[in-house]
Amino acid sequence: MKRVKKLLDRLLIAIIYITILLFILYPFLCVFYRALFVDGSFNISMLNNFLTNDIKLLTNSLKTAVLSTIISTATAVCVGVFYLVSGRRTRKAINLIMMLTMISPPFVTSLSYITLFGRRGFITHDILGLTVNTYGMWGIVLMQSLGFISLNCLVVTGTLSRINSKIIYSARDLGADTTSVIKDIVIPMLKSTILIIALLTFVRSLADFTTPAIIGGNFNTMATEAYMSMVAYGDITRASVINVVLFIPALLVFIIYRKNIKNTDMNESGEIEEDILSKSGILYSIMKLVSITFILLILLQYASIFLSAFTKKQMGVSYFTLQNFVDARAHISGVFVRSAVYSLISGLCGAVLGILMGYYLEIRKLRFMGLIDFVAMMPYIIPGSFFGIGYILAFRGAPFFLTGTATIVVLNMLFKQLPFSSKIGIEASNQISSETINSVKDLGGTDFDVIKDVVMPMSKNSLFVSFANGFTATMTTVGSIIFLVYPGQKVATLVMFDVIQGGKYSVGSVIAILIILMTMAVNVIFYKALIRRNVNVS
Amino acid sequence: MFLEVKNLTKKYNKKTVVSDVSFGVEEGELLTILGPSGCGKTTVLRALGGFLKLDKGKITLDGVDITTIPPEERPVSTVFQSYGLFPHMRVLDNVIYGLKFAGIKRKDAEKIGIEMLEKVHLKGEEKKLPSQLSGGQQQRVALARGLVTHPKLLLLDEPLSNLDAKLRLELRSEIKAIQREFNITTIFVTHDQEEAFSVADKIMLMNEGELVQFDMPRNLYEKPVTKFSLDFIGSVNYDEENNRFCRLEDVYFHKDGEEMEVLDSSFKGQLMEYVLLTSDGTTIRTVSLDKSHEYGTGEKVRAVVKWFALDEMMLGGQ
Ligand SMILES: Nc1ncnc2c1ncn2[C@@H]1O[C@H](COP(=O)(O)OP(=O)(O)O)[C@@H](O)[C@H]1O
Ligand SMILES: [Mg+2]
Repeated sequence: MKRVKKLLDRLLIAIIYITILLFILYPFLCVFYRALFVDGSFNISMLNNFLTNDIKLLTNSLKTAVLSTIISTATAVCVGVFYLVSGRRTRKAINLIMMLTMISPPFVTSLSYITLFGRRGFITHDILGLTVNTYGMWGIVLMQSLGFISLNCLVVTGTLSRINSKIIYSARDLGADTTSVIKDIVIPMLKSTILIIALLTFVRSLADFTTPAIIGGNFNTMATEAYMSMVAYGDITRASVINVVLFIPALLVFIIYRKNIKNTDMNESGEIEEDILSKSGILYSIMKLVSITFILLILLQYASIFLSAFTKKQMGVSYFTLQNFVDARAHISGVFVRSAVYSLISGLCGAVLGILMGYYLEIRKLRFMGLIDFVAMMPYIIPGSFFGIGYILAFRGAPFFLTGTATIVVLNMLFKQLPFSSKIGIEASNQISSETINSVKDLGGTDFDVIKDVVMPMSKNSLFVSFANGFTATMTTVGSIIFLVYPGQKVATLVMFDVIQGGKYSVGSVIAILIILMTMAVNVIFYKALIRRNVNVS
Repeated sequence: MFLEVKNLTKKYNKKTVVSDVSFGVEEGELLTILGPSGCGKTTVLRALGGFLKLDKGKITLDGVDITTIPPEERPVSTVFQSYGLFPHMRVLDNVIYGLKFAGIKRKDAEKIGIEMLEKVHLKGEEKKLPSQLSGGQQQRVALARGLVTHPKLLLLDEPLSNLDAKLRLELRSEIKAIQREFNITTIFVTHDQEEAFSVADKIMLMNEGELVQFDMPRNLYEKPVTKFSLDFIGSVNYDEENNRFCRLEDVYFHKDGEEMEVLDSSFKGQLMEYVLLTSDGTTIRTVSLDKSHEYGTGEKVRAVVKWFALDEMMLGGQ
């Protein structure tokens, strides 16, 4: 029995090593190989070619990324401070809005932009009577920023609620008014958080091809070019080259990120106290204005999607109808079931794999686990399309032949999410004291028993959270799987992307609403189950 | 009265955590708020610092009603239990932060700050970050930072609770010395009665959000006015039947005393503690410093007991 268990333990370790190297590192290297090797020998001529002929794409990407980063980071800080100063009710409302944006597919922002400001836009055309071209760089920058702000806000408010309130109280006690507290205490303490969100936004913006594809008009970025190379011309080499170029800033950012994530620890956790700062001062007023503008834009965004889903226009007059839902049926038959099944599988497997990684990394401290952890983090930072192209290159031939299968899609989704689930797993393992584990061994248990009887049961909450996260992410992802999915096997986000590109904005809105509802339902069910479980336990 | 607090009341979600507390402190005095954990000490302090919206009550400091003045304008400094140092600022910048708002130029502020750091024995640590200091040093920085603006009232919330025993004694006398030197009106919160007795001019005893007794340390010990005071302060023998109490040191071995039997004896380091059984069947605890004469279990002894009537405690109480 003991021997079997020992074997099982070994087997688990092997599974972790092999899957991570095979499904993350190998595809990653394949892209590099494709981009940098010609006929088996190292050759950077393709890279050179790209950098000399397509420098415009690079500058377009960089310009967009810099602007999006500045806007979304600054706004997130404003919303964070507003959140800090606000009462409990406002905070709750902000949390809800941010949650809503987190469970929405990434391009609802662009979709609503078109319905509001496009050629036939509700505001530009119907209200102002204009037929203007609002497509282009600034549209991209604004939409990307709006899309990125929520996640950035979550990070900022997370840091703020971990700041020891006594630090702020001390400053006030010494005579600092709200403006001084924000300038002297809050923002300096957010420094590394600001750096992190700025870096992540920068990389996300570089990698984002959906926004420019939808509202860029003829403004092209590297990410859209890579996407077009694949989809329109089937030129996988060019796509690889572009993604390798995109990877360089991403890698730099990743390194800085890993350095900084470590020294963000702060004392005292929990909820921000009421009335921690008084609502006064010019700086606070500006930040409040920015925050409220942002919140209104987000609300406008959802209102427009809702409106566009439930209305149709006939001879210039809009009327309420369910016709769009009927129209959508043709596009989505079977799609949502497929999406749900894919998301369930990848969410579940990802959660278990994450917990196991946490255990082997934090508790067993296995050799090379540091490297494995590093590799597992890579999907977080490399562009989604990079990851997708890697899968095509890696698994189309012998012995895999996975092209066009559901397996490759699910695997891709699973490993794309692994950075999040492994992070949750690591945190869960950190909660387990070494004494509990030693007790199992003391009483004759093996390492496998530790996993079965201590790690898994004690990590149940984390498994739940990890699963819900993975499910949500998979339901709303598009970047990495867009090249992997064959027609007729599409998932909801891809169908939505397609119909938007085909100009069927109302159908796109219907699908957006359905995705949001479905993700919300799963999250609510799991959240409720989690609460009930915890009540039962205590 | 320099500081006057009237009917201070604070509720959280309808639960009253501080109830109708009134007291006063003279200028230059050190008041200790003493009480078990959760009795509302920190809440009272936060009210004085201006960090709470009160449900009821009035606070007057040096003749000015400060009840609704926000903390940034109150001439009050708080040293928080967790110090609340600015982790991203160097020690000196921490200390002189408050001077910025007093309109003092940076150059002058630095000079004042360095002098202040000298007073709390932190000379040479100016350029360090708070995280590079020990707990005791951090406490000193917090103290210096609070004192540098010359507040009218200094509030210390369990200032020594995060330190080890030896350091606690050391810092305790330093705080007391600094308080004397600056002649600063101070409120010192603690749950440790020994600490309270050694620093306080007056002690305010609290329990479950209510003021139980406000008195000189000596009176609190010798003339407790409620059963809670009696139980909380020191160790006591309480004789319910005869309505009386005595402290352990009010029982001493003497040949003219009543005959008793030693039920248990234990070695307590500097003294011995005994449990005695009287002829009428009650048990009495006592201590003895006299280690040259130890009694064993079962031994017959004679001891005098100095009882105080329970009625006394009710004077002015409850
Ligand atoms: N922000 C708060 N919300 C709700 N209850 C609180 C809050 N702060 C303190 N309390 C409650 O008030 C009571 C008194 O707390 P506190 O003044 O911190 O006690 P002490 O400092 O004497 O330990 C406690 O029961 C505590 O749980
Ligand atoms: Mg307290």
